Parts: sequence; structure tokens; C-alpha cells
Amino acid sequence: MINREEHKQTILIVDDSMMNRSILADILEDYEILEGTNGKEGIEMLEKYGERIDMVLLDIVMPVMDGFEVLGIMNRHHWIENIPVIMISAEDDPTLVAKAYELGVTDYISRPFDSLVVRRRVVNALTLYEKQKKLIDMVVEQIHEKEESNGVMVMVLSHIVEFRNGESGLHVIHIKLMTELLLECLMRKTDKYKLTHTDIQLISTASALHDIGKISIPEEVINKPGRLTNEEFEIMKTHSAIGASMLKDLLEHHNEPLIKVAYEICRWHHERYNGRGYPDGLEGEEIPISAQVVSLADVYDALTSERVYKKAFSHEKAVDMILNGECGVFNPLLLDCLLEVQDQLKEGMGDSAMGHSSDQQDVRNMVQNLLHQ
Amino acid sequence: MTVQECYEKINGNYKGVIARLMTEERVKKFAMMFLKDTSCEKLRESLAAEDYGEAFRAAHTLKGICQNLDFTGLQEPANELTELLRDLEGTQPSEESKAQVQALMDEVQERYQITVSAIQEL
Repeated sequence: MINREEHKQTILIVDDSMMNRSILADILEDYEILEGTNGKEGIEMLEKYGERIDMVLLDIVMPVMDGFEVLGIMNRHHWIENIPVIMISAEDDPTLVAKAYELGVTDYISRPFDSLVVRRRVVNALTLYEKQKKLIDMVVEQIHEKEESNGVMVMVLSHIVEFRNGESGLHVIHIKLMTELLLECLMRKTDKYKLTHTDIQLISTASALHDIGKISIPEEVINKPGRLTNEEFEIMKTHSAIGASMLKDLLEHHNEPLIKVAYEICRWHHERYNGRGYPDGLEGEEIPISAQVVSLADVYDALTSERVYKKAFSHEKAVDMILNGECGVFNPLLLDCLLEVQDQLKEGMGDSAMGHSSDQQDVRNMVQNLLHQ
Repeated sequence: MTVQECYEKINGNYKGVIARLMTEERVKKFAMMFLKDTSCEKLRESLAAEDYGEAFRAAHTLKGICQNLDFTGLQEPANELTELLRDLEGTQPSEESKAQVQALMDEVQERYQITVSAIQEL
């Protein structure tokens, strides 16, 4: 099997003998060949070209740095997972061969080698790795597609709720943005919550669902032009438990991380760090970090938005009010994050108010049409 | 001199090398390249400097090249010397070991001269 003309694969030959390198290069004349005269030069090539190198042919005994050291470094950097290594050596001591395999080489060819065998083994290893790379690409693409369609569905759903609440749809976009900023800052600050980038994506996506429970609050309460009575406020407060219970049914059949996180956020985004929130009066770290972050974002956006009973506060005023505890007690670490990201926040909120990405605009229009039919 | 005659003169394995490297043209090309190879020289120099680690690596390289080209006559003493030097690396060799190394080195030298002059006649 000859590889396709349009993409010549690259093989790095690391061997201290110029003759050995030349013989191998001659046998593999239809590949792009790079050469290193010792282990150190080989590593330099790998650093320079990365995964543009499709395979390494590696000698063991070399001056400056030997083949085993090269394998050690390739393991530490996880290069060996994506770049196959074939060892070619005059050493036939079985313990050395075993050591090479343990360090992750794909194949071991003893000298003197047969040119046909070298070719065949190189082609086989390259073919296998190429198949593996294709499969990885396919999986990555599918995950990406799934995330994207999840994101669109979440946006549709949250916009339905927003428009019924008489809001513009900006609220969920703001909350998502702020949740992301706060969590990224938190991840830099501490490893207490063991946050990964995937977690941050998940929580930000799920944040848009925090108010879905409002769908079952009566229209006259939701859209009342004025302050709510105590009784109406009690009805309003049920939205967090209702939203959570809608998701809880789903969780029994679909144990999806996205739904699990959305559940936490729905139920506990009105809890406060000192236990004075609702519905469960959870305290401190009993409140999942996802809900803690979204509740801070929710308060900030409520303060900086206009309501029938109040004007919009400025960014500075809103941050002051939150820090002074006028909107309840929050995790001090999150307040530090709020201060740290506030410039980005102020800027980001302005951007999202002025223009949305076309995707978001499409969803907004679609939901608006649905509700007006 | 043909490639086959050259291999007979230096006690090499002509059939073996043709089977592995496929064409006489390729064998000739690399045999000629052997004239420019410096590993034997490096071996000589590092032994003179009593640097047994470097000497081991040079002998190892020389042996590998001989294996690739089926220069059996040179490969045998080069292989013996490589194994002897492998054990000496990082030690203070006795006079007896040094004498053993010298004897093998003389043999390598002699075979190397025979090999080089035969190739020059190609």
C-alpha cells in the first residue's frame, strides 16, 4: 500500500550513524525524512514539528542521549500516544527489547534488518495510527455536534420562559456570560471545587435554565406591573422548587450531567451563603457551586436591569450593593471573583446588549413568533 | 572488481546483503559510503584517550553498520570488542583487560584495512 501523493507522511530517523540513517532513508524514499544524530536532536525535532511527525525510527545506543531517554521524554509529554515509535537496534538482549515495549514502542526491529520487513512494518504502523486518528476526529466531532445541539435546545427553552416573563431574552445571555467569567476566575483562584473546563461549559449552558419553574407561576403574578404582595411573593418563590421537580422526573430516565447541573441551579439559585435563602435554607458549601455562581449572576443582572418598580442601577452601584450585603450573603471567594472580573463583566454586558450572534438572534425571533401565534 | 568479488575478498555475506537490501546498486552505494564513515576512527581515538564509554558507542556503531552491510569479516571482531567494552564502561580496567582490548582492536584494524581497500577497488 502506497500512501497518497497529496500528503507525504513524515518519518523522523534518530540514529548516530550517518550510514544507518542513509540506508533507512533510502528504503523509505517515498516518505518525507527528518534526521537526528542523537536522542537530544530527536527531541528537538519533536518539539519543533510536533505531530507533523508521523513516526519515529529510533536507535538505542547513541551519544549525548540514548533511545531509552528519548522514550522517557516522549512518555512524559504523551507524544508516544500519538506518534508511533519503531526501535531499530543491534541490541538483541531480551530485557532491552522488553524495556522498549514497556516504554511504548510499537515495534522492535533487530539489525541487520531486511528492507522489505522495515517497509512493511512502517506502513502497517502508520496505517493503524492513521485509522486511530480518524476515529478520534470522528468522536470529537460528534461530541462537539451534540454539545452544540444541546446548547440550541437550552436556548430555545430558556427564551420561551423569558418571553413569557415579559423579558427580552437578554437576562439568560447575561447570566450565562457572567457564570462563565466567575467560574473561570474561581478555577484560577482555587482547586477547592475541582472545576474543569468541561464543568464550566456545562454549568454555563445549564445556567440559562435557572428560571424554567416560572412557566407554572400564574401570568398575573409574573407580569404584575408593580411590587408583589407578600402572598404573591410566596407564590413566586415556589418557582425554584417547581423548576427542579420538572427536571427531577427527567433525571430518573436520563442521567445526563447537563440535567443534573440544571437541577441544582433551578432548586438552589435563591439560597444564600448564610442559610437565609429559599427553598431549603442550605448554608455555605451545602449549596452546590453551580447554584452559588448563578445566584450571584442573577442578582447582579436583576440590579442592572430595569423593572416596572425600579430603574436599572449602574454597574458600580450594583457591585457596591452586592458587596455591602444588600442582596443577601454570598461566598466571599465569589465576591473576590466578582471584583476581579468586573471590568470584563461591564464590557461583556454592553456587548451583548448591543448585538447578539446570529444564532442567538435566530432563536429569539423563533421563540417570539411561537409565542405570538 | 564486482560487488560479489569485493564481498568474497572481505569475507562478507553477499547473498545475505542482496536478499535484505534488494539491489546490487544499493549495496554498492552504501559500501562506498562506508569509506567516509568515521566510527572506526572514533573508536581508535577514544581508546587512545581511555574513554571506554565513547569507545563502546563507537564500536557499537561500527558493528551495526557491518551488520547492515553484511561485512561479516569485520563484524565479528567489532562485535567481540563491543561486548568487552560494554562491561568496561565506567570501570577502571585491569592491565589484563586493556591488553585484551588492544588485541581485539588490532584485529578490527586489520579487518578494517582489508575492507576499505577492497571497496576502493569497486
